[in-house]
Amino acid sequence: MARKSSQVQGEQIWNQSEKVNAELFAFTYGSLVVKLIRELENISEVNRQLETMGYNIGLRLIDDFLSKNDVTCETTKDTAEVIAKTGFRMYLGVTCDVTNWNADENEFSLILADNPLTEFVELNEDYRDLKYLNLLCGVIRGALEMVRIKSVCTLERDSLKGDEFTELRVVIKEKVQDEYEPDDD
Amino acid sequence: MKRTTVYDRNLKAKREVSVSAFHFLFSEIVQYCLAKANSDAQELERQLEELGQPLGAKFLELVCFRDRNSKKDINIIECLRFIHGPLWKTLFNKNADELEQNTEEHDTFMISEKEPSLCNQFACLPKGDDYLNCGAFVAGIIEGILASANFPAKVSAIFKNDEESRKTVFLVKFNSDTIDGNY
Repeated sequence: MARKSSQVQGEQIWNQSEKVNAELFAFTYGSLVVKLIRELENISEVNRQLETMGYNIGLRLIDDFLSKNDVTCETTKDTAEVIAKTGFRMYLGVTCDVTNWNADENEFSLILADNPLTEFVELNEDYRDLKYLNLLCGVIRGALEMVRIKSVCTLERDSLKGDEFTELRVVIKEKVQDEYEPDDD
Repeated sequence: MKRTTVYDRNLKAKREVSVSAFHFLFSEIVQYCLAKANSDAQELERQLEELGQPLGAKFLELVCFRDRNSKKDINIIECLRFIHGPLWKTLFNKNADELEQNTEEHDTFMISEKEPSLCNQFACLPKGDDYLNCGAFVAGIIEGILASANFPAKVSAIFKNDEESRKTVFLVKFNSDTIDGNY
């Protein structure tokens, strides 16, 4: 039997899962960002903190993700597809597109047309250095690290800053191989 | 081209995200505040309340505009009913379980939840009456709503252990001048 496509899988889990008002989620996140801006010294420190928090989430999220999904990613293309169609779908209820592959197929972009985190958010000109969605970058980095893929994820374009859509650039640095040979028995 | 702003958005569209996404985010927020508060439970609660407060003003406006044709309550009891009913429904998909007034102190009201609230669902705490309650975040939201409805009050989230259930009670204590003028 052919395995379900990542899109269908994401859709199914989304339909079964318990949900919460997206505005509560978005406002809570907004409130956190404001708190960080107040408490930390500068904007780059805020960006770093958001990324770290995302990373911590990613480390734990992957267990939840794998427990609900039946996935095997053989190529980086599979991985990207699963993040975009299953991952984003099952947690945030949206899917994103995977584009802009480089020749070596270890870099790609996730295009988010619509995103519940930025609901009712406007960025003041003074905060043009703020990477509001850096949390998402951290989540991707953390989650990939737990499946032994070292990566760097950056916010390339941001719809909050007037870009047409939001683009997350994922660069796969290294796929760590198992250090130990599996036992024979 | 004119930039679209938040005011151009259609308020009718209701969206949802997975409850796990909220839990992941909230637990990370608690972690951050915990570090900030040097593991002091009271300070942590204060920080969570502070985080919740700005949400109150936003939700009051949003729910009033969206569901109630811009009708806003100008009476304390009505306002509390609004929190107990429509607002709770927006936030948690259900009404709050109880709304009571303290029989001895008339400026004190209680909104209670029988089940662990969204914020406490996965909090693992030792047994006891006065330990940390992550519902402080929700208490902050309620406080924010009452403040922007011009009924300043102090709201705190406390546990009430009866038998096996761990009930969260949001204790609403109005400032004395609020009560004098409006009750």
